[in-house]
Amino acid sequence: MQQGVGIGLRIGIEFVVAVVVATGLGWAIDRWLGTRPWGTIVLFFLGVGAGMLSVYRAVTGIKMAVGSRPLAKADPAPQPAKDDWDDDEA
Amino acid sequence: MAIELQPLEQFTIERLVPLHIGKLDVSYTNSALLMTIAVVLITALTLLGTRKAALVPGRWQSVAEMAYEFVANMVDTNAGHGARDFLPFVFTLFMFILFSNLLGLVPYSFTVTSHIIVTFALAAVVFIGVTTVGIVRHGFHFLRLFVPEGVPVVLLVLLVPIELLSYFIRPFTLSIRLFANMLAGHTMLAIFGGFAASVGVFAIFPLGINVLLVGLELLVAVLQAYVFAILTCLYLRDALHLH
Repeated sequence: MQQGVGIGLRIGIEFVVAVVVATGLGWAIDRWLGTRPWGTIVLFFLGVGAGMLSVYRAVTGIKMAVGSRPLAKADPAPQPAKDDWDDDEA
Repeated sequence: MAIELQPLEQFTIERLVPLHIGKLDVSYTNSALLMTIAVVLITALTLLGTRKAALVPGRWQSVAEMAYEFVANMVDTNAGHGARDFLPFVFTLFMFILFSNLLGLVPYSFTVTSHIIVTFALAAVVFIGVTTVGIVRHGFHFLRLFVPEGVPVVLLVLLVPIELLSYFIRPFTLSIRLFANMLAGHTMLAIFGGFAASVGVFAIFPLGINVLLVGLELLVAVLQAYVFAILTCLYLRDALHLH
């Protein structure tokens, strides 16, 4: 249960922050280079993509972090029992 | 009854000992005081716990050992092998956040982690540290982290920016998660406390809610420290074992 709440709290914020930070970055780039509104638009969609990726990676298992493979592939050490999320990857 | 409700007043930074170096304001604030208390308490706990290492541990020793083993376990299972070198760092981080969160729940104290600048500084240390470890261990190969395996070249144009973005967003998610949870929890406690002060006899209801909320906040305080530490472990694993 403890781990479940941990994961839940974790992914809640992942998506929102990705979109907000990416859009803010796009806005800053626009201000800097004067390319309004293209930087904001492109980075907004990239942010949505990054957010979805982060959430997907967070729910496919806590053992899989942003930007990486499952630990099983990177590190062939003995693994604890997998959780239900990993079914489709077996 | 005119009791002013100022639920955000608790987050005010106060200068306890004003101190200026040139134009830089380095006053000793209530925030710094709570950080000092946290550090002193952690140091006291670990020192008391390891003073006489008995085979059958006493009270202090078991608390210190439990905390140590909890973090050691977390590092081992989440950061992969070869990550033991970073155990002191993760342990320090976990204990500092845990104590800051818990001390914030003491009435009339101050929650250090409810300030974004504090949590962002912690997250930035983790981010810069982890990136440095990755570059030192793998050199130029570290950039492979941003290139997913087995993807057509056409898609890489889209995927590499997304991967880069999701990497550089880490310090933000890490800091905002902790900060937002602490800020929201403490604001909620203060709001219901304000209700209780202003409704007379019916104060029993907001008071009851506050009792439940304090329990929830205790859970959140421990859990957020845990989440921060476990994400640090996962990021470390990325840097140590590239795919």
